[in-house]
Amino acid sequence: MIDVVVDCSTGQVTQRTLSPAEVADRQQIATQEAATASAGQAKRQAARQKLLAKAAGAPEWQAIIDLLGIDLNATG
Amino acid sequence: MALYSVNQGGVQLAGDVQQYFNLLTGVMSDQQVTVSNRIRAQMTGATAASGYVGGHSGPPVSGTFAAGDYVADGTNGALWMCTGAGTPGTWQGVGQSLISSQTLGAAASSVTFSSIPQVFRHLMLTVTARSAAATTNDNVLYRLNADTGANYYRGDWSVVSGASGTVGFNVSNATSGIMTPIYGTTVADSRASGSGVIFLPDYTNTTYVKTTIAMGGDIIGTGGYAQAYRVSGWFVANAVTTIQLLLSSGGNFNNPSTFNLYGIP
Repeated sequence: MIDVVVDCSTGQVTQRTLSPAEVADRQQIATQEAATASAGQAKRQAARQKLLAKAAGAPEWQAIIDLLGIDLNATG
Repeated sequence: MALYSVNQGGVQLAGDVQQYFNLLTGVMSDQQVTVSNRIRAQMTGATAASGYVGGHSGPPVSGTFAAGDYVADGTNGALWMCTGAGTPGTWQGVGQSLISSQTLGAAASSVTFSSIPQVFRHLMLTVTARSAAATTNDNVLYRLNADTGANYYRGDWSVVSGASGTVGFNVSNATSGIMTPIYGTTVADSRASGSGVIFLPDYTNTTYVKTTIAMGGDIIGTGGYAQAYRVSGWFVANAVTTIQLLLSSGGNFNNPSTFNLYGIP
C-alpha cells in the first residue's frame, strides 16, 4: 500500500510503502469503521421503532414524523 | 504622471534617483529596494501611495512599513498587506492560497500533506475522489500530525439512501476524524465519485483542541447516495503540521482522485 506524501514547504512529492504496522492499522480502521456504521444503523433502526410505536394511533406524532420527512419503512 | 516629484524645499536623495534609474533601465535587475528609498506608486484616482516592499515567507516580522505596503510570499504563494504602519506594523493576508494540489497518477491508500506552513489562520481542504473498495459508500477519514491514538471525536449528520431522513450519531475515542462519503466500485460507473470540503479553523492554536467542519457527499441518482455534515474534534492542543487522508475501508483511492489544500489568511 502506498502513501503519497507532499512536503508543503518544498512542494516535493514522494511515495512510500506503508510499513507492516501501518497496514495492520488500516485493517483495524476498516474493522472499526464497519462496527461504527453498524452501530449507527442499529441506532437509526431503534429510533424508527420508537417512532413507529408513537405513531400508532397517534395522529399528532404521525404529523410530526411527516413534517420531518422521516420514512419509517426505511432499512438503513 | 511623474514617477516622482521634488517639492520646493524637499530633498531627493541621490541614491534614490540612482536606484530608480537602475530599476527602470534594468541595469541592476537585482537591485534591492530598501525601506528608506523604495518606490511607491500613486496613480490618478488612488487616494494613497502604496508600495511593493519585497518578499517574505509570511508577514514581515521586522522592518518599518507603511499602510498599503505589501510583500510577495513566494514560499507559500501568498500576498501580505500592511494595514497599520509600524515596526513591523499590522499585516493581513490577501485572498486564500493554494498550498498544494495533488492528483493521483496511480491508486494510493493515503495522501499526506506534511510541513504545512504555519503562516495562515485557517486551512481548507477539498477532495474529489473515488474509492477502489468494493462498496457503495466509502468515507474519507483524516489524521492530524500522524496521531493514530483514540483522540478523535465525531458528530455525524448524514443522509444515506435507504435510511430515513437526516440521522445523527456521535462517536467517541475514534482513531481518526471523518470527512465525506465517496463512491466505491460497487457503483460501476467509473465516473462515480464524491466530493467534500473540510474546514480547519485556527490550526496553529496551541491552547485549544482542534475542531473540523466537513460537508460532502456522493450522488448520481442511481446506485445509492450519501451526503453528510460532520464535525470532528481532535482532542490535542497542538498546531497542525500534517494532515493525512485515508479511507474507512482501509483500501485505496482510485486515480485520478484530487486533493487540494488551501491556506486562508
